[in-house]
Amino acid sequence: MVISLLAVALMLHLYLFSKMGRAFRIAGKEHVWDVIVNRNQFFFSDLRFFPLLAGTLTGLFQFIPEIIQNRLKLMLHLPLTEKRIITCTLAYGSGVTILLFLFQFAALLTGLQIHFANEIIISTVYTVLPWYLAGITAYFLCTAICIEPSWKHRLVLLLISIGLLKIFFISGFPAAYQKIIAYLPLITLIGISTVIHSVIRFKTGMQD
Amino acid sequence: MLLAWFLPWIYKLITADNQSYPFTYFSCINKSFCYLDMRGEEIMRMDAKGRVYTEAEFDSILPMFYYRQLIKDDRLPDSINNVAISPRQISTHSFFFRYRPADMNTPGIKLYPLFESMGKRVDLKMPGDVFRFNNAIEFINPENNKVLAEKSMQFNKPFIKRDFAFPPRLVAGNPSIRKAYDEGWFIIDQHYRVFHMKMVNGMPFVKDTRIDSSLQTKYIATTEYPSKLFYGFLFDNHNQLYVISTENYKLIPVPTPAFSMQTDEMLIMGNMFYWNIEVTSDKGQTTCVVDVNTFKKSDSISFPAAFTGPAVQKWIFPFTLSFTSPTHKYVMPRIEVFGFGYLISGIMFAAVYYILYRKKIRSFNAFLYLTWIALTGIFGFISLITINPLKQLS
Repeated sequence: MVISLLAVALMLHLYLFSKMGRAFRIAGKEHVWDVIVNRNQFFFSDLRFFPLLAGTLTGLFQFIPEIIQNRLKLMLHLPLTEKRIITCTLAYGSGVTILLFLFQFAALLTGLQIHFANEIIISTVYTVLPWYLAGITAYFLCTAICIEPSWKHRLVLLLISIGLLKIFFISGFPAAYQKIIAYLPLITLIGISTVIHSVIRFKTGMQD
Repeated sequence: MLLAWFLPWIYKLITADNQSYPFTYFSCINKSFCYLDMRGEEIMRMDAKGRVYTEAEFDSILPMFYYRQLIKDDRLPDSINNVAISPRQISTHSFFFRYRPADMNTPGIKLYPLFESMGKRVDLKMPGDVFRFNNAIEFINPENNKVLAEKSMQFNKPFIKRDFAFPPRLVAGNPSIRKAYDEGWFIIDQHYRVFHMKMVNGMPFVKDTRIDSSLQTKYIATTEYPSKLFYGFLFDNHNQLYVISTENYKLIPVPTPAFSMQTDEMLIMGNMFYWNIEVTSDKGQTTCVVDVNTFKKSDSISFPAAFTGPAVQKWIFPFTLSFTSPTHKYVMPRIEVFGFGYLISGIMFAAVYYILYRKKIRSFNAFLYLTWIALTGIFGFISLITINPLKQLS
């Protein structure tokens, strides 16, 4: 699954930079700079929901088999501390997600560095960072929903997750999150806390 | 917190109505405001004295606005108020300037094109580079993303010579080739001195405008209108509007209705005789008219907003949370508190909760929940109903 996501990330990048190259050839670099700077066009909008999808899929693929086959219950009763088991499992899943995002983000920055001035690169970073944070948050929220033992609470968690993730996608205007970018990881922390809450409920066998 | 965002959003979605005002314009014929009101079932054309006009009459009393219709009907007079007029004159002096708070509160990329102001062709051309300001002006070639060292140095010299305090607070201009001519950029330095920069025959033109720095200029809009009578509009730190005249950058104060740059919109509809200055705030819309020869206010008219403020919200919600605003392009949390009126509904919600769960409300914790609902109102009620902690207590 991770390899599939990596392949999709690569293909998406190839597509985005081919599209940009085409714009450079047809309209010229000066025109492309002009529409980015003065008409607030954003060239990487197609990237918008990829991190969200990648985070959600990683969470689902990691935890759904564990839940369906009741392996999580067994895992939490291994001769290791519950904290350690959960930390290792989440560290693996989130680590893979973050690595995938870092790889894609680094490739994006490298491409931008060649063609654009720092001001445009900074604006792009402010625009795409919330999307990557949404992906990481989606991973934790998905995990929390999967681990949560009661369907009623799963529904509540799902609604809360939609609300929290929506915050990352309120505006598509370039660099709209500039003023609150430093505070957005707090939403990811809320995502992590929901996982801890779900694990506690799972461990104590809460049914409601 | 999510409920504080979601519930008011739903409330607005259901209840929000379009806030519209009549189109208002001062007549240079009968010297009074005329307005076109499309809010009712019928379109009303009236003046401030209450006289109703037909469509053709309305065109006639507003020749500065409907001059093209009058030309088509062959009804445009040769003179108005003893001043000879021609379609060309009317067109040259007519303009529309709009200011929205979001114009100032928008994330932007600080790269600017500098056009040739004395080009030999009628149409403006893209210059082939952009400039930025850090601790000096720097030109960059988009083709290779490299700094143009020679041009940068050439344009930097006049700034250094004039003691420009880098980096600028504001760089104001129209980065578009779709304009009649180019007047370059107005730049405010760290000491609130206003400079004018343009490129004339490939050479730098940088001038200290000597605009009073104690005004602490907040915003400049360059206009580049065909009349060439002024460079643009300037707003000082106290929201006072000025015109930057083309006569040695003389500042002319322009009277306006009460105006705040952070919250209100301004529309200036100018013509040969008068400027109609319309300010729209959440309280309503006021238009004042200014004589272009004296820049003195001669009349004003107001229309109050049809609905003002959070009438129902203040009884239901302890506060509301929103991330977007019509006055900002930035996403950021904005909390609005309406006072303690919501406590009444909070106590009612606590009572409903007590009735629903009265058999389980025995412990101290349960009474804490009731207090929580009373204090947080509908938000606490919905969250406790959903989580249902009393089930765990029992």
